[in-house]
Amino acid sequence: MSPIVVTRRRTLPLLLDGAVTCAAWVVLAGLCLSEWQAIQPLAPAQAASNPLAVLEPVLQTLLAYLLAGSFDALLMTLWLRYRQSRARPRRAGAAPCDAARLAARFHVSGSQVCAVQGSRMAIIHHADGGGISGIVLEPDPLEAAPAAAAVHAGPRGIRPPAVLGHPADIRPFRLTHEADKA
Amino acid sequence: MQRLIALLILILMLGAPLGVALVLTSAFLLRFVFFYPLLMSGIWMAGGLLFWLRWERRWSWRPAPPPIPRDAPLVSILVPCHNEAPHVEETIAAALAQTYPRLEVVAIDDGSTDATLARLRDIARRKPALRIIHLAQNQGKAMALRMGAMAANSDTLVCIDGDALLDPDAVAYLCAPLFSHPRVGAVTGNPRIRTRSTLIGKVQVGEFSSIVGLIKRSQRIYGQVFTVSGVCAAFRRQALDEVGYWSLDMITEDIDISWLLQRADWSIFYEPRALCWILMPETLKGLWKQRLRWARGGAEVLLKNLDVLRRPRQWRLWLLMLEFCLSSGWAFALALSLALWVLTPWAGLPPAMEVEAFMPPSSAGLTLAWACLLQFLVSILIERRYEPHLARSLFWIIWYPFAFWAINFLTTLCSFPTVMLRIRRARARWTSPDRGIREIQP
Repeated sequence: MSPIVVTRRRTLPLLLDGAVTCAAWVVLAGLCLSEWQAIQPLAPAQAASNPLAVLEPVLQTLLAYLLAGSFDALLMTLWLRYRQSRARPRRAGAAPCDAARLAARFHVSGSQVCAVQGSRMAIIHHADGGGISGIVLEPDPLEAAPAAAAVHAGPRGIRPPAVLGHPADIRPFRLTHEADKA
Repeated sequence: MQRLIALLILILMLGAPLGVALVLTSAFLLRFVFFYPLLMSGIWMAGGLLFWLRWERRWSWRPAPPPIPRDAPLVSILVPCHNEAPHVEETIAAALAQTYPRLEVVAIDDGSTDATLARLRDIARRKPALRIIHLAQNQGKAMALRMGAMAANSDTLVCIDGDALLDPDAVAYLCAPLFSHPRVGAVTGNPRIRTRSTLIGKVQVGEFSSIVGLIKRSQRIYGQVFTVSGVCAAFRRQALDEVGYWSLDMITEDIDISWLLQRADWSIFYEPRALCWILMPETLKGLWKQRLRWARGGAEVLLKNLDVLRRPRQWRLWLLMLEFCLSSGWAFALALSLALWVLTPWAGLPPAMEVEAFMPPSSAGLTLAWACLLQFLVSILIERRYEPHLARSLFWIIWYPFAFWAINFLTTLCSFPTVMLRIRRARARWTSPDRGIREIQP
């Protein structure tokens, strides 16, 4: 199935879009033609000796543009070679992002990070300042019956349905749930 | 202090074109207005072609399979959503339909007020690989991504928007550089426009291939990328953790994270084969709002990262900053040239500042127009294998030089002073964007 969305529109705006775009191309063609005519007076005098003389101004412009583009490309190639010649050594291994590091980064406990990572449905509450003020784990949507038992979530993997907190437990910057109490 | 610096930047940006006109005459200013887009167009074409000749044309593409390591590590796809009920189902379906074998999809519902959460729950009942994080209150995209990163079980995070459709091989292509190059902190994908119903939508098809694609390729040749595409990018968790994840107060979190990563010495790759189909505004109002946000985001990032100029170790970012400053300066130079042209007949300006004719001679205008078309042809040459019928949008690209340069010019004029005069430190929150036009009622 094509991902492209073409919404059905009224005919008039469609026609209008097409017409003004056609008109724009006609104007561009007209401008090109007028430029061409502007260089025509030179033609009779120069065409005899050199047929390409008529196109000289156009060719000059194109040549200048080509030269500028080539110069850009040359600079970029040289830069690329320089960059590759100075290939830096492998980056020193940064600290691994384990649960403890994530917990420190997001100002929650390690067990809370593990619990969220192990859940399939979690609700996160934030305080006004942006800090996490509460995490509620909901039952796995795959399970039909809601679970009520609190489960200490492990560090990895999809866990069984778990409820590790309730909105009533939410306090600013402090989460209370069974895993923490343990 | 930052407020003072911001004011100085604004004065410099407004004063520089005036100074140029005073010292070097308005004719020089007009030449800059004309030649700067031409110069950049040349650089983008050269960079795009070089990228293609050197690397891209040798890269395998369909029907060859995407690169998937034998012991493929787990990858987490983070999908922050806010009021995405109409789109989230197909977004999640596309994310789950990846050819990459080990995936979890973490959808972060950021306090949606529509049926997004209900839809997500419904999908999660059927698809075990989908996990849901629901933020009780709307916190903004950056916070949603942060929470998704915290909840993710893998060290490779692919971040997409709640209305984006990943191509089946996109994750494999996005993650391959992260697996094979330890210096790479992020890989940005290749957004393709889905909404093509109005003239604005059709022109953006050309814009994303001929401008965005070529700029990204050129910046990869240079070695530094101005921004990853927020709609489709992969990150190494270590790199994100090192820079403190996404900033909460930046209006464009994607530009900000790109600069944070590169300042921390992480590389950013561009992977054009990682296609991601996106919805874009199809009305002038929607386009204006989006471009204004981009322009504001760029100005904010400029202000935030000005100190790279004091750090010789980060000299590679100087050129990116220069390019952004010149682009913003170009808008002010164009505005000043227009003002001088209007004032010339009756204001008694100094002769050096008079602008008799604002419009360039037709030959100059034609050169610009043909440069723009040539740029589009180059992009078709490069990108046709990703989108075989791209050439069809050539018909509509004639509007690009007028419509989009004009809108970029106006958004820069509006956003730059706003950002510099009012340093925002509030949290960036979601707004409802224009996601294409609605079907007409029969």
